[in-house]
Amino acid sequence: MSTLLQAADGMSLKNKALFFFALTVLLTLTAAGAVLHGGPPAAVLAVLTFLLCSLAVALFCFQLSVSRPLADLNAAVRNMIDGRLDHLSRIKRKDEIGRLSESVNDLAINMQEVLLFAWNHSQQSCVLLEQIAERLDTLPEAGESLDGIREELAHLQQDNEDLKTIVMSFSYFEIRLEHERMLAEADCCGDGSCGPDSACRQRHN
Amino acid sequence: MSKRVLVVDDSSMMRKMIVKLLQPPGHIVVGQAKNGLEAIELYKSLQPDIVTMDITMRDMDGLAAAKEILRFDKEAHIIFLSNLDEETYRAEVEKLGARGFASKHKAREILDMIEEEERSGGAGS
Repeated sequence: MSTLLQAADGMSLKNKALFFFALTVLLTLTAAGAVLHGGPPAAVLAVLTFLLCSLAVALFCFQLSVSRPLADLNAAVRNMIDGRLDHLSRIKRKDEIGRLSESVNDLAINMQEVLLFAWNHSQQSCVLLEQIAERLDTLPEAGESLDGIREELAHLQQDNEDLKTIVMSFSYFEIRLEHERMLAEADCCGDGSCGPDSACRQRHN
Repeated sequence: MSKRVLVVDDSSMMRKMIVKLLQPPGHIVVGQAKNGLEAIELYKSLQPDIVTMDITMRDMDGLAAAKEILRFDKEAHIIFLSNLDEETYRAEVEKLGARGFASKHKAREILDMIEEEERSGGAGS
């Protein structure tokens, strides 16, 4: 029995639909045959009842196999749209919906990669800009000629901060951004300064 | 000398970038894995010279996969490529037996690490 269930689980949606279509056609033809040949009404009724029950089961299976997983997948995608890239789809199936779920997760991970790349580079840019600003401050007084450069630097620093703010408004799969560092979600900073919702704090409490 | 490399990262975009990085110096990417489980399977079948390994991945992370690969082959050459803070994780990956840790976003660092492997006479033929 478990082998049958495993086989059913691995069957594609298209094949499942074809199977139910074939079963429905067979039952319908059987019922039609029974009616045409003037078979006993009880037999005809039995076949028709069986046919209706099969259609009801098919509808229930459709709800389980297609409608509900698609609703769950939609909920996962909405989470990602809202910036919660740590809420990946949990659907693991070997059919078309399983593959769609995996593709959605792959897309979320790629998006995470781009955002973390941007965060990393803005971090490095911040450091360089601060160094340039410090060097400018040590130069002999050059008056207004350097004021323009200082102003441009301040704009660049603000742009960097704005970019970091956007990136930090997302939540990431197994990664958190804390104290200018990128850490695995389960790891503590080690200095007791983890946020109240961090996984390590929850583990230790 | 070109090396046979297995690239492991859950981001298809990052795998593509690493492949593009490795090809001009003449390295051959023999396989790509998106999680630790696939990495272990591919390592056993492909026996690459070098493995570039991400840390955070779905299903099985890079640290667990590296432990398993090193259990299978003590001489495996694994270089961790990650976004994570180097100061925090370098010691941990080296304790595991990996050859190094490089930032995913610093292309030069990755190539330097592979060249260092070549110079030390380590990775394969």
